[in-house]
Amino acid sequence: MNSSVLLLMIFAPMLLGFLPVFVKNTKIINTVMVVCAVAELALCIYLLLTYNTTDAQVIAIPWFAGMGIGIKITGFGILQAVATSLIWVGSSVFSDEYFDHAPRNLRRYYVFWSITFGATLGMFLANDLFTVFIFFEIMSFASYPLVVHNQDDASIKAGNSYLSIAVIGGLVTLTGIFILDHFAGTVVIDEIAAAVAGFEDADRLFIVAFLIFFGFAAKAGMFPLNGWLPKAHPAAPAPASAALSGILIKTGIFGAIVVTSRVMQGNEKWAMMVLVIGIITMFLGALCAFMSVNLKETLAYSSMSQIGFIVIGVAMTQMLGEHGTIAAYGTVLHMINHTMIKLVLFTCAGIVYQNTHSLNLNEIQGFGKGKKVLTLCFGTAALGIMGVPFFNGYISKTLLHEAIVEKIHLLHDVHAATGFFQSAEVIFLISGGFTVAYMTKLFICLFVKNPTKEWHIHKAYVSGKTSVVISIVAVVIFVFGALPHNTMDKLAAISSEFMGVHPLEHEVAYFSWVNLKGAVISLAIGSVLYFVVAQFTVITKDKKYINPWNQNICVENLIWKPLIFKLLPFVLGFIGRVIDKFTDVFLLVFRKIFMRNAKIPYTFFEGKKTHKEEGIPDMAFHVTESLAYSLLLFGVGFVIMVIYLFVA
Amino acid sequence: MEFLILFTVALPVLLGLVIPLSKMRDRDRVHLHARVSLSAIAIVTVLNNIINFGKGCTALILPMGLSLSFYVDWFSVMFSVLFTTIWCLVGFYAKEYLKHEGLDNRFMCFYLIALGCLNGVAYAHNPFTFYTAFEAMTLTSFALVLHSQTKESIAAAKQYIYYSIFGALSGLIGIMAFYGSDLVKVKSFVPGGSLVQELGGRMPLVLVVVFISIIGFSCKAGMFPMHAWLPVAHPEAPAPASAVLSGLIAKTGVFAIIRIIYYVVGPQTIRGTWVHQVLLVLAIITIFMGSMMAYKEKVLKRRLAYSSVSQISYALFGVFMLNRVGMTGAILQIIFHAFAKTSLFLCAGSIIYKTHKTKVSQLAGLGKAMPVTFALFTIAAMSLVGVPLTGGFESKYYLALSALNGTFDVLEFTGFIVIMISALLTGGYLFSISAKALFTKADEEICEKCETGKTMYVPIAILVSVILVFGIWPVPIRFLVENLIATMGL
Repeated sequence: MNSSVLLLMIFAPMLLGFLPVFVKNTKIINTVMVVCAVAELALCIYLLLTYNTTDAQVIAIPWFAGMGIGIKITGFGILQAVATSLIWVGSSVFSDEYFDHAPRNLRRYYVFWSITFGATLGMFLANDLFTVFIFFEIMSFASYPLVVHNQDDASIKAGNSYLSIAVIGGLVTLTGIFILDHFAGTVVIDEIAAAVAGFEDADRLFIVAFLIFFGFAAKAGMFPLNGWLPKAHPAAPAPASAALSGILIKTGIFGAIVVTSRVMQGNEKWAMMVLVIGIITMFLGALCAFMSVNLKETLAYSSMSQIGFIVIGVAMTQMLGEHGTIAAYGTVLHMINHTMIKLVLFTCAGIVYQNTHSLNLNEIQGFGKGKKVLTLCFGTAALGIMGVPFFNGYISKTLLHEAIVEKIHLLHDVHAATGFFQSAEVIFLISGGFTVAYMTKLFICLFVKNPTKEWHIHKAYVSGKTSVVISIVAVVIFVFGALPHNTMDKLAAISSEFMGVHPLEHEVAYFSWVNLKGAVISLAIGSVLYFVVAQFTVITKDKKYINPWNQNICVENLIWKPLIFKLLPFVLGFIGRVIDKFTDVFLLVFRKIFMRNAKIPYTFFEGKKTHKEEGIPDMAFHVTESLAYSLLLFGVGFVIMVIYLFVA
Repeated sequence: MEFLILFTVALPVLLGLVIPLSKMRDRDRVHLHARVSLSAIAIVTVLNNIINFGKGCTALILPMGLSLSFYVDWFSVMFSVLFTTIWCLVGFYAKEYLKHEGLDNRFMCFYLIALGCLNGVAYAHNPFTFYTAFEAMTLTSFALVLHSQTKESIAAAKQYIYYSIFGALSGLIGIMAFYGSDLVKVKSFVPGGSLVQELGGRMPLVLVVVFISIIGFSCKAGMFPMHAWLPVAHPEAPAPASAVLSGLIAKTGVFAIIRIIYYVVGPQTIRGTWVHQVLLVLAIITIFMGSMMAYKEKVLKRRLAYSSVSQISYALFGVFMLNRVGMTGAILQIIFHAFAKTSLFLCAGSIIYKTHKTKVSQLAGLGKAMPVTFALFTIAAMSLVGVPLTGGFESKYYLALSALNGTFDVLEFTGFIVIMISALLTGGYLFSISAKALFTKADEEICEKCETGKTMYVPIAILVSVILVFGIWPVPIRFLVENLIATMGL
């Protein structure tokens, strides 16, 4: 493959980001963006189809940004690049009509929209951690203006959280990468595993891995760094939400995979930690999504929950060792499936918003009634994420479920305790149940209930091109689910090398009873949750949706914000102030002793002018004139003299 | 053509003196004169660097073996080019800004003279010349600090001058101790130093003298415990003056320390001693303290000044590492911090000039009114934090790298952690400004179109583009730094 094409693929969107500076017409800009995304998609698919492991070469620009970057096509990377381009095609097409209702700052939006695209592609195709980091940072900063695009209170707050997480996470990760480079001598992804193999101090390596993991975990919205996600994703405009939820959080997963499968290869303790994080994220996200009364917030929590599923897969891949193939397949496929599903769902949410200007379930209920395209697309995607057989989510969730079952079997064989993994399986199925319940809730709300009010829909509720795009994706969701062996198995096999597993030798019988059982249990739990539990908790007697959870009670408000924005600045600020004023205080004491009438320097108490002029010096004047003061000084001198005499 | 070195030092001083001597009052004429002079000086400096590279020239021989002599080496090239480039751009910016300060003729007179002194510092070949130029620079920049002649600025300028003179005199102790005795073999700057080998029992005394003189010169660089003047004096000066004070004049302190460590006593003398340790501790403390105070500070320009305290100590930290990588980081930090901090102060100046807002909390929504200024501010801020693709990232990369390979394991690792925490705080105190200005709605009515004119934002844009271009494509800067370090004997 010609290396310049690959570089062009990453940098063309970034350079295209400067187009809106020169072109004023946003329609033209949009067309160019769509054409660019389609071209990228075609190129990525071509690269994916022609990919073979042997001829992958590293394209390096040694001078770039000081440390140089290296780009390399891996099966996993190019697959995610296809997913990225897909999101950008869909969302760019949809951007055109979505922003008709609020064209403010649109050129700024397109600038950062395009830069984020290139950075995300670059990150997935990176050959070493420095390259990952560079693109990760560009992506984080470029996506900030997308989050705060609306510039209302909610999005500003969400944006502040997002930016804090980006800056803190980025620096912690960079710290880890520096130390890893120092320890291992390399940060090339494929060489790390060999380089740290001989490293004896396991605890230190654990800390380093944790530092690198931190920034990626924050970006992926893993517990306990999840606080920003359910705020930032709904706050962004719908096309940007689709990108944030569909692909940007996957960059965090990419990092997590690198850390888990390379730096911490075969470390049980680490895998266990990641697994626990995954389980908590999965369950918490599903629970919050179940309770939410906001369409996009539900979808955002859903993303968080699905990230939990994927993280479980990442951990299980390591835990199962040689048998990790199904877990690896599950991880990769769930990433791809979730991207497609979230593209459709967020676009649907955007369609709802552009017509109703609301996302509250109580206000938008019944909007979709009788709208065939919307119903079909939303329905397909919902079935996909629920894990209903013949839709793509079923395949990946089954694989992840099988991975846990496999681990239980393996432990059984050696007569080890299986209690933990059995409870993990139960939580897995319950979370699947919650997924069913919240998607059912959304579907019934939007498409079954009768509308409570009239909306003024000027033209068609959705443009033709958007409906074509989401319909195609919905068809793919179905085809992937119905013909998994011909489609998804092949995609997963391409990524197996990156995941560090051998390709699967025999096909998984996805539609056998053993495998269907998990889905059936989840569906059953989901039905009970929606039709029984939900009626007492999140739906009131008069058919209103409520959120029983107090929104202020969350990890972010309880721990992170007080810690990072109150406690630490206070303590460190106090230390800083003491150091800062050290010389001034020293000089002041000096002056008060030897030049008693000297005024306190004007600049001493910053910003408070009242002190400096008369008040305090007057007081000091009286003090220094007094007999007691003279006695004090005499006493001090006497003590010093006595000490000197004793010491000497 | 050796006289050209003298010319580069004397020309700015003479051109500055033309203003009061010819009784130039009209501000258009003053600025025309200043602009032409600055351009001429820039050309002369570049020519001098090319023609006289590696050559020296003595201007004046005084009794007792003292002489005023100048010399062009890689360090001189780097500093003189840095000084004149930024000085020119800020000088062009100053015309518009000084409209609301007045007394342009006095300002531009001292501004030009100060450049001559700075060039003197850059080209100085022996410590006596260095000290003379250093003091002259302090005195001329004193006039820049108190330009607005308010009570505050006079107090600030007084504090500045007390600290500077105390610092320079402490520095002088070192110079006299070395050059008034037989401790050094050569009486000018030599790479690697020229300290005699057989020190014997005098070694502890030498260390004390080195320590005192480094602490003295660190006053100009704003290192703890001699930093107190900096966050007071820099914000009080008019924006163009604060820009060059923070961006360039404070760097001469770092330059002085480099000259002492690497060209007088030699790094091997202090490596591993208590001096080395204490200096590293002081630099680390300053990095943390400056960032923390900036994070807590509410007045924009004072926040930037505290930021300078922290950022210049990054460079000092690199210098005190006494190794190749650390020195690379320090030089890159000197260069890119100069560009970034100058841009930030000029942006702050534009904001004050147009809206008279000085506090960070008043900036909400201003990005709508001044998009270009705030875009430039954001990029410069990114460089200061060390975001990839900006120059600041490179310097911080090398500094972090050197900290991981230090002499004292724990101490440098603490430094590494502090650098990272400080970068975080830098992000906290700078990005919050950008985010507030660009993405929030204004509380009150703000001027519709108060973007500054081209005369104000073009100089900033040039400074910022340097950060970006050499951030992405650092090859030429690398070439310079490598040559520099090769001549230092590291």
